[in-house]
Amino acid sequence: MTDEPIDCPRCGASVPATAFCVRCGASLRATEASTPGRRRDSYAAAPGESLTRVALFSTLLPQLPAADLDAFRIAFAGGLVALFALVAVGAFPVALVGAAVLVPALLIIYVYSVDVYEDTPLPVLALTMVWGAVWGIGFGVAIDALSRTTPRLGGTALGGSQLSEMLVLGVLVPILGAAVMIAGPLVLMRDRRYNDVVDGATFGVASAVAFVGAQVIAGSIDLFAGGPIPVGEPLPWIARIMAIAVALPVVAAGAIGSTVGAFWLRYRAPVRDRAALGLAGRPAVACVMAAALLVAAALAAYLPGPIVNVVVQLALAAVALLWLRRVLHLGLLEEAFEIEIGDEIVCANCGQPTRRHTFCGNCGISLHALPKRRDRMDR
Amino acid sequence: MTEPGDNQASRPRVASGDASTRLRGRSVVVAFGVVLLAILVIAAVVAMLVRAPAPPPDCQPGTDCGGPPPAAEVSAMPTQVQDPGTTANPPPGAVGIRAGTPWQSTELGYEFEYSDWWAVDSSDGHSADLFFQGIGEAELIVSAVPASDASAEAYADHWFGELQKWAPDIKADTRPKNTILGPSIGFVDGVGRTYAGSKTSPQGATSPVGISLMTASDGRTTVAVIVVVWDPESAAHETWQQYFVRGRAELILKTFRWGPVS
Repeated sequence: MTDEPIDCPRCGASVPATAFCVRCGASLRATEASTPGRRRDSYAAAPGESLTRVALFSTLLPQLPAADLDAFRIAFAGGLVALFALVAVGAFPVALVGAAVLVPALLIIYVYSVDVYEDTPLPVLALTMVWGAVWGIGFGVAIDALSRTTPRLGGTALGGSQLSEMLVLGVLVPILGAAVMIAGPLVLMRDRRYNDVVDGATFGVASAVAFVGAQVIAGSIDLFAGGPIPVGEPLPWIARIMAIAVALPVVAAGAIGSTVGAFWLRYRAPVRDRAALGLAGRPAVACVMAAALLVAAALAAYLPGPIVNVVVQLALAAVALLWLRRVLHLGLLEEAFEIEIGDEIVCANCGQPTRRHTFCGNCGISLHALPKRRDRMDR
Repeated sequence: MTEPGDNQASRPRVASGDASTRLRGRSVVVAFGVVLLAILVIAAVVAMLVRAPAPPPDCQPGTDCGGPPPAAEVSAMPTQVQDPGTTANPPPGAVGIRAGTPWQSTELGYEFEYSDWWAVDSSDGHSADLFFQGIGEAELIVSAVPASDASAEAYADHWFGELQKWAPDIKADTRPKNTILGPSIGFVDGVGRTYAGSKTSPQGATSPVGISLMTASDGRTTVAVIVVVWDPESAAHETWQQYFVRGRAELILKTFRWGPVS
């Protein structure tokens, strides 16, 4: 790093002559992958990844430094393998509970590890994970009752229609669920400690995965009456576990995280950044898009065959992830012209020295996409 | 909610950037493993504790077994006709005992009677779908095809395929307590199978189901009687739900009359 400042070709500010502008994240040096002054195609929370890459961990857990992502990947993969082993031995109820808590447990460790909740963990936990879990239990019990009162096998086997069941469980329940998952985190928007879009998106993700997990467990409580190893074919359970452990929580996390992030972008971001997401950045439009994604994932369950179901749900999860990734990226690119360039720090992502502002001058990561500990001392 | 344009709300703040995570590397994997393992162990313990106890046998040594059917299930003719389009009307002047509400297939001519434990939800010329009216959830389907279309065994296989589309994980239930002894429909011996599995809602909520499937053929018509019971292991009337519901379906099998010879 040189001490001679240069003018950023994109934002025009006088910044240290590093690889990336510490104010706007634009590339300051010509490389094979970038042109000086261009806003990067790389994801602001993980500069080594493209913005259009479907990446589960850097999207759902954006504040993790690159070096820590692998540990979460290993933990998640190990958890999935354990669940498949449980399915192989026929312990379906235990595997189902494990699948329902897999992503929520990972998220709890993440928010603790990066200190998302800063110094007020209880109110934030109450309005995100506890809120989602309590409503999820209520929805699970209601779904269990509803699924028994709608036309069942006879309606299908005798050539009848599943329309009423599809309308209730495939359309109405996902829309109501989306409204509930969004409502809790929105209360936190009044708290000015959580100004970043990444905060809002993380709250939405936490509410969504807790809701989905609790809903599955509460709606499946009767499964336990058959003991730990009930009668059933293991193979369809593999697809079922993939849906419960990965597809359903990721669709919900992506859709709800993006929508809550859109609210943050609209009401908490600097005025000039509020239109950055275009139409999808309008909260009303985002709510409709989130509901549509959740409805599509629910209706996918009516497609023939468990493999087809889960493949379509995983494709929808990829769409939801890309949406969330874009919201986070634009949120992290929020420009902060009012802030003076600070003292030199060591970037937690690349380990190189950089000046404290918005982006690391060396690796280009958004410093808001890094753990928050000690952050409160700077306010 | 702060209105757009509120300078206080939109003031950006300086990120830390140099703070490391509280948990790193192996500690993340260990913490996650401990949390997941604890939850799995709790789930396994709960599954063992809430497991429905084995039901007592119907007949205890030294006691009388069997006996007449409950009085509530038997009523003298004439029985009120509920669905004129599908009711088997007795010939004028006929004398007999009717044990339940009659239902007749308009296309294949077979008929049966069902007790107040059941109500017809939907039907067509060759099939009827009945819902259980007692505590708990169950469904009973009576369906038939001409014998030239399927033998009893083939029709059982066909229905297994249909059931698999509906609940993909169903598997033959070989537990003695659920075995169908001497399967017959209308006093014609047939095929009896029991299956167990689960049904998942679009939200992932999963409920266990127990299925009893019987098929029989008199050479002209092949009939299937399918009883689907939700939460089959749950306690009901001092026995388990699947056993209790199957007992309530016996009347249909015993009053089943095959269609007239054409």
